[in-house]
Amino acid sequence: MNHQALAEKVVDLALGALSPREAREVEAHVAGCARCAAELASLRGARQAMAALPPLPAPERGEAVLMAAARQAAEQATRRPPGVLPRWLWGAAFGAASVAAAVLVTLQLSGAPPPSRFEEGREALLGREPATVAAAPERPEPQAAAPTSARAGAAEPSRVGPAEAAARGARAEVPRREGERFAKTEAASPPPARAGAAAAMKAPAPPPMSAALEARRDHARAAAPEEARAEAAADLAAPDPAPARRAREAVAGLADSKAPAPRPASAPASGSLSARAGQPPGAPRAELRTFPGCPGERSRALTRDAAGRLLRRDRAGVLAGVPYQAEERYGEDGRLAGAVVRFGGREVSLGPAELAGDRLEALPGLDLALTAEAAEAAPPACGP
Amino acid sequence: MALDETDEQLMRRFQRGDARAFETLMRRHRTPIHAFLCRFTGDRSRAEDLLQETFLRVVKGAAGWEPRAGVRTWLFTIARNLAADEGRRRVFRDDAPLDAARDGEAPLGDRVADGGRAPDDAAGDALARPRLEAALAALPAEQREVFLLREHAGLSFPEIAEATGANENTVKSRLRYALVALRDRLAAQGLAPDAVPAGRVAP
Repeated sequence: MNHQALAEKVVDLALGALSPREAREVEAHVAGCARCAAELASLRGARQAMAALPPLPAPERGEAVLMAAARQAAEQATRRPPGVLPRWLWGAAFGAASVAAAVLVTLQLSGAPPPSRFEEGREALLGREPATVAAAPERPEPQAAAPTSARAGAAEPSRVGPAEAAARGARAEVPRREGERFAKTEAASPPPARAGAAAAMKAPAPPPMSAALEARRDHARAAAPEEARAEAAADLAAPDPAPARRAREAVAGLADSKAPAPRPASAPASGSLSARAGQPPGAPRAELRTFPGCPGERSRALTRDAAGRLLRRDRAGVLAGVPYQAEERYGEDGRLAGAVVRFGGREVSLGPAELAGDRLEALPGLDLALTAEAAEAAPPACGP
Repeated sequence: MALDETDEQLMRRFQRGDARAFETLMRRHRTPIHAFLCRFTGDRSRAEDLLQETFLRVVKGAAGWEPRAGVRTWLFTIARNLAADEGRRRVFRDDAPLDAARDGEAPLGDRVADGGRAPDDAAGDALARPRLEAALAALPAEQREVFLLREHAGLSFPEIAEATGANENTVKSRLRYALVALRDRLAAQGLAPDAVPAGRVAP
């Protein structure tokens, strides 16, 4: 055995990487060679010292998201032949993958990107209602500005103004947007049915979600104005968050420079825009409020059913320098049934288990309202 | 209950639609994988993100998992690949080496060169531990990952070869380099537990 080979064997011996026979051979040599003995001792010592490094326990954060994804997958597994996972779930898992930290009570903001990266904007505020965002500013009648305007328009084509027609045209090219998911599922099923930690993954119509996610991915790459706006609205992170972020940044630019008529002349600066007119009876109605001078909550959309019961509240603003969107959904009992908070490129879904407390602070300075009543009454969260 | 079940049994149960099996699996492995990611990336918050993504990939890929692939190896392979890919992107994006932040280490000299100590309290020592971590962090990434997978995660050479995409001989060679480099670095800081400088042990 030459010297080089022997040196390697001594290292291997220290590493416990030799077969018993080889180990005996090398040990026999080491026993008679002080230099090799010292080498072996020092290597073993280093190995032992490194082995004594403590384990680094993983934080509990994020378990809720993982379990929600797992339950969803498990549910699918019982329905499908083994080996087949629905494509939309893959998308959902990818989206959730960007959820760095699902903190149940207070979300850690420390890692969030600096505020300057995001347009502090109204463009993003209604979140997943791109049609609304697109249609609201230009439509001459104030009642158009509602999350459900697209559906209203579809029901009564004669009422569709040119701007909304354009918006619908744009949507037709990418028929299933992230933003539509909520409007559609809300129409299709009552909110309680969708309650759950996996709100983002439990939309009752998986295929649209898949399409939405794919469409969104395309948006992220294409970043054409219309699409980029939708992307800005849909803050659910794409598999690789970078394109989405770029798209959002692109939107920020667009919103500043290219959106010519951000607010209809007839819209009061801080009023409500009601969408009652033109709605088919029984459809949810949305009311949009904006709070100029209150960066913490620049806008609030309240969606109610025909009886006036609050179904959901969507808020958007900037708190602690971080733009956020918060969606709260209320069940038939008037209790908070689920919530999704997006901020700094992250998304946190809260389901019944997490919502059990007395008070929930989604972000510092932003409480979730545990009842529909409280949601109606709460003053805007203007931040500290 | 599930405590005696093997990873593979748990995985099969998860495939059949039992989400609690996944929970057991996750609880069982999240700390070792987290530790690996922390020490491999040198960044706790990134490690946390990558840990999350690792398990989401498990959820996503569960249906396609086959019993012949060991779950543990699979988990570390996912984690390692995510970290390596992210590391590459980071290097490309930031134009900064992956190890840039890791080379900082406590100044030498506040510990005498011959201040050897017993192995057991070397890591427990509040002063020693950061140095042990720093020594690990100073390894080239390909040596560090092999060392961690072998010494901390306890994977076999074939498993490490699978996880890292290197052949077994390369893995063994990297592991040797890693241990020698660690020994040298610790010795240079007077932290070499059993190190006996060659000159002094001559009989």
